[in-house]
Amino acid sequence: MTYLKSVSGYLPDNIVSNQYLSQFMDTSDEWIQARSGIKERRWLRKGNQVFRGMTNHEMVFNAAKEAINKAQLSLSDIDLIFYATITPDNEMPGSGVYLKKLLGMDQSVPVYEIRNQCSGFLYALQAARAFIENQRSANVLVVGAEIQSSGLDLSTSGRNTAVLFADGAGVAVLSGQSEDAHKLLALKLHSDGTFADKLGIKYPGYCRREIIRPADFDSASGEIYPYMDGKFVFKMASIKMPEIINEILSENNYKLEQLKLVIPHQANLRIIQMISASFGDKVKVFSNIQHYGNTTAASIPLALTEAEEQGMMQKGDLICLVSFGAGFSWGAALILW
Amino acid sequence: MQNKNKAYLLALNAYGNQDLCPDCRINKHIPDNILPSQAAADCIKNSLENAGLQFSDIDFLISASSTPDFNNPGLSQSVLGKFEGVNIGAMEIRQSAAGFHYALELAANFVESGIYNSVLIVCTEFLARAFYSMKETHKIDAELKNAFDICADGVASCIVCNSQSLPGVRESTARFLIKERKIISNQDGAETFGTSVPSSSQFPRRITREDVINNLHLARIDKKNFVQKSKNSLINLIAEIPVSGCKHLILTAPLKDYLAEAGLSLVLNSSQGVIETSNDYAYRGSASQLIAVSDLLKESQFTAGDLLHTISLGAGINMGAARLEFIA
Repeated sequence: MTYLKSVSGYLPDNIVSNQYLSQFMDTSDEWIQARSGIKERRWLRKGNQVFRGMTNHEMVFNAAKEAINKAQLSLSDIDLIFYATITPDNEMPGSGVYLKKLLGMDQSVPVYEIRNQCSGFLYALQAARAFIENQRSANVLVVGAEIQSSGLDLSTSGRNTAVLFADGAGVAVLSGQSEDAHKLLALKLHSDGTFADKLGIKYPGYCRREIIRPADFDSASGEIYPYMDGKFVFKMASIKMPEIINEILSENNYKLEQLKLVIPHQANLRIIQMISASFGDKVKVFSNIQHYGNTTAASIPLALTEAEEQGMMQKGDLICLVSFGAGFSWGAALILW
Repeated sequence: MQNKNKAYLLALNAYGNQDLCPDCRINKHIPDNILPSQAAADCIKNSLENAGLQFSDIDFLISASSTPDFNNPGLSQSVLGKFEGVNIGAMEIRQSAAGFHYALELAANFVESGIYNSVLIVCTEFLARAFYSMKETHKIDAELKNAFDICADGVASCIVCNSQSLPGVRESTARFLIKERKIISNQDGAETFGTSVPSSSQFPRRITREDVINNLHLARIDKKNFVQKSKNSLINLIAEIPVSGCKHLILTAPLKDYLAEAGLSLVLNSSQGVIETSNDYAYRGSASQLIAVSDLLKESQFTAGDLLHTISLGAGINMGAARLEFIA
């Protein structure tokens, strides 16, 4: 059995309001809130100022230290790391080895770089679970972290995605030890690659001879920025997230009425409201997207951290984490708190 | 307490469609009109067909690659998209040349723990493709040239499962028992091999036109420091996963003649000699290991009970080793 010992998060101090964004693009607070529910978000980026700022792994460092302390463990107790991000410090080798350096970890601790977009944290949880239940690892750090702000087009042509995405980091400690911990009961993952072209970033990419071209930087084509078929993604998320919640409950012999809280990936408040509506508003569904935007792989651990801080889970509560994102890939996890 | 399930590796296939790359020892580049996802899908299709299996026999997919079709989503989903009606979980890992060992370790844990019964691994590297753009630009330094000289394209796949014979699998399918394995990440070598951009902490743009002109998006190897930082870790790895008794030893490093450079030629002494894949096959990242094993199988270089030792070193410095026993 695998246990969640602790979870912690880090958010940049810089609060970016919808009004601030309207300086750069044709948008408004009303337009953004109507479409996404987002009022503000946290960015490391400061407008179009050129600088080298805090790194992905530096954000994680702050959250990791806290998560390890909360788990009442020491750094040397951690024997494995899963690092989920689509915005690493660099493409190769990624962010994990730099995190290890900053933490001062032993060389022998392996670190996996996971690239599973908004479902990255749940995929990393499943991988951690495999090592723990096979008794190959005792205590695993599971990271979800993103710096989305450096990859956004702040002009009007980029507003559909620029207003959504944000920065943050969440870290969980998973363990085979049950003391003062919450039971990870089940985890389910899916993908459907036929819709891989509905949400993502194109270049650099290896589909052609030049992995990146000067024309890719032209903001009119915007090939280096996120693109999204918003309506289709919304529709699929609204179907797949309730579907997988029902699937994981039924496969593990639980009824909907036993579910105390759903913590979904924070992509859009309207999707979160659709999830609640699909269950007849009988299940509490957590949201904090209003204040933090879509932090992709960091979204679920950040939400879980905040839900815990707000006292939304009591001992014995059944909670469900659920994700849906680019790929498409989606997943759900049941935790007995 | 060891889990009762064992993990087996079978249905190995490399290159994909033979037409893609008839002799990858000579040909470094998979043709331009072929996407990494298509090459990976073809390779998987051949893996499954040769073994008499279907996608419905597979519970999970792990893709190890540094070279996806697009920045994101990565190759794991693009590959699955080529197979109609397949909705299994598909995980994307980026571990450079150690990708095969990291995927193997993860797959074996899934199978031994019972979370999944069968996991498909695909390793896809189109490393030579990135360097085509160098012709158009300048700023080719020694570290960039180190990478350019050895990089090539390759793709390979296999299945890890909890039985030496999945229902329906052909008797003729080569299979190995995964006996021992280990992975480590030596962060002291993080700066010796890798790319600079795109970088999420570069504001306001992760990658600029100037970065591309200066080839900062391409991989560089600081040969001397890579060797120096990795060799002690390699010695420790071999101490845990010993070479003795192994008939074949396959080593993948992003350099030619890594063992000679590191002064380790005598340390690795298998009875049949050592295959350094960057010498014989060019450097094909995570695909290198299975490409070499595939060749040994085609040359009937295994009999039942033979031990195979595999080691890989990649950016990070991520490293892995495994001992496999040939069953049939």
